[in-house]
Amino acid sequence: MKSVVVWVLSIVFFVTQADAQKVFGTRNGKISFSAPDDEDVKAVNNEVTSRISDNGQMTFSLLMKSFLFKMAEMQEHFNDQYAETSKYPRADFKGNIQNLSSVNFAKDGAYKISVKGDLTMHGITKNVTVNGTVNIRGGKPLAAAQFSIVLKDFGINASSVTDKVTVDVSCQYQ
Amino acid sequence: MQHAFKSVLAIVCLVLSSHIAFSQEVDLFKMQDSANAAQSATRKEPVINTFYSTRLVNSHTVEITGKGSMDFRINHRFAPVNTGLYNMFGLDAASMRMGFDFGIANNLMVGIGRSTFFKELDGFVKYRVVHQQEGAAPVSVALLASLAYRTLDMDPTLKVTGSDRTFFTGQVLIGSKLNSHTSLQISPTYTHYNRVLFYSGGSQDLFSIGFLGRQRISKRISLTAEYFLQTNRFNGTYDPLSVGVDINTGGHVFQLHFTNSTGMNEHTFIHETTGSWGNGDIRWGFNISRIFHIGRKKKGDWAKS
Repeated sequence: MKSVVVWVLSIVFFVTQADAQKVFGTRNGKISFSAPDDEDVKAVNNEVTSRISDNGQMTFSLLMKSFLFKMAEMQEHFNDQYAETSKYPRADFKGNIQNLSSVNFAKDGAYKISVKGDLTMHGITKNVTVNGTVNIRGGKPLAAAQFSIVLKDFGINASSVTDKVTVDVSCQYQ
Repeated sequence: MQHAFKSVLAIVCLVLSSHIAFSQEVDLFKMQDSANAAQSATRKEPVINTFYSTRLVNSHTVEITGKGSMDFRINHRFAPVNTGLYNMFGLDAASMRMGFDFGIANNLMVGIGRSTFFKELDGFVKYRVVHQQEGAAPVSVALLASLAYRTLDMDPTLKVTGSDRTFFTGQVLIGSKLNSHTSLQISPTYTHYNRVLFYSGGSQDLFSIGFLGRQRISKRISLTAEYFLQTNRFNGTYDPLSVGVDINTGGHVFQLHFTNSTGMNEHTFIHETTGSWGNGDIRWGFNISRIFHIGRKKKGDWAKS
């Protein structure tokens, strides 16, 4: 009984929503980071949940524990000492495309975007602006960006390893 | 009847929800918040870093060297501090064990080592059977089997055979990270001597129980303590007690401690500790652990952009 209601609700919701607003999402977006001076320090997270809407909203959410390092010990140090992932399990971004008018979600092509929003990590929220691209192919967007994070801004002291990391984002939406 | 009710309900829902959908756009920010909340409620992870390292001072912990990693360990114990200033309080002499540990699967490690104490070689296998996980397992349990072989030249009249030089230790390691600062472990231990040389009393089969604790005092520094209670022992030996500090610097773990043991493999530190804390017969010592990655990169789990 309950399931019928849920089904009907969700089907209707999505059908009607398609007319009003386009939302694209993924559960296996990719975000990786690396230390600029130490090539051993890099990790990738292939389980990023992200959504983009043609109203300009973009969201990213990931579990910090899902960052995979080459070395198990390095991963443990990242989780235990630097990112403190049992205390702060998630990183999260909510932003808006600033130049929404220059993106046409209905038309294939590459669009440069600037996204401004709140990045929350290690329990600290910062307002950031990130430049990237949205590449629409076959009606499906691919978002990509590269930017730097100063770890101290987020209360992470990893100075014995690196002070900042370069973050790479690549999300293919459905 | 019930079927009819369902249909009516479905239509009602349809009408209602289409109204909602048309009148109000989806807010991705709210969507993300509710999805995150739902995920947080279900997500469970195994507990990491119950201890900083696979050893606390001399004893094994429930930790396992990461798969594909090699841990090069140097353990060093100076001479007893009660030998006075002439010996620089023990710094003039040292006993050491050098070893290589390998993480060969997620919960399995092996290691080999060579100690100066009685010129012993040792090797062990450690397997973690249970990994502590919130809501699933309150403790981690690991099994350890270790063999030591004494290569020291001995009086030929003793007619010491290869089997006489071999010692076996089996341990059940039961550890729990109680909170982010405190971890405890209990280790029931069995040791077998094929032949008892140089000691009297005790028995060929020795039982003991180890108590290990660590208290984290900052992100990188922990205080540690380790004690083994022997149920039967050789004459002139004491229960080993060690207290120390672990300093974790990233790739290295430095462990500094005071201990009354000289040996650093299982049977020597548990059953052949001749120093007594009461007499100040204790040694300053340190362990250094340096981890190297030796496993091959796997495709997929470590993609390049």
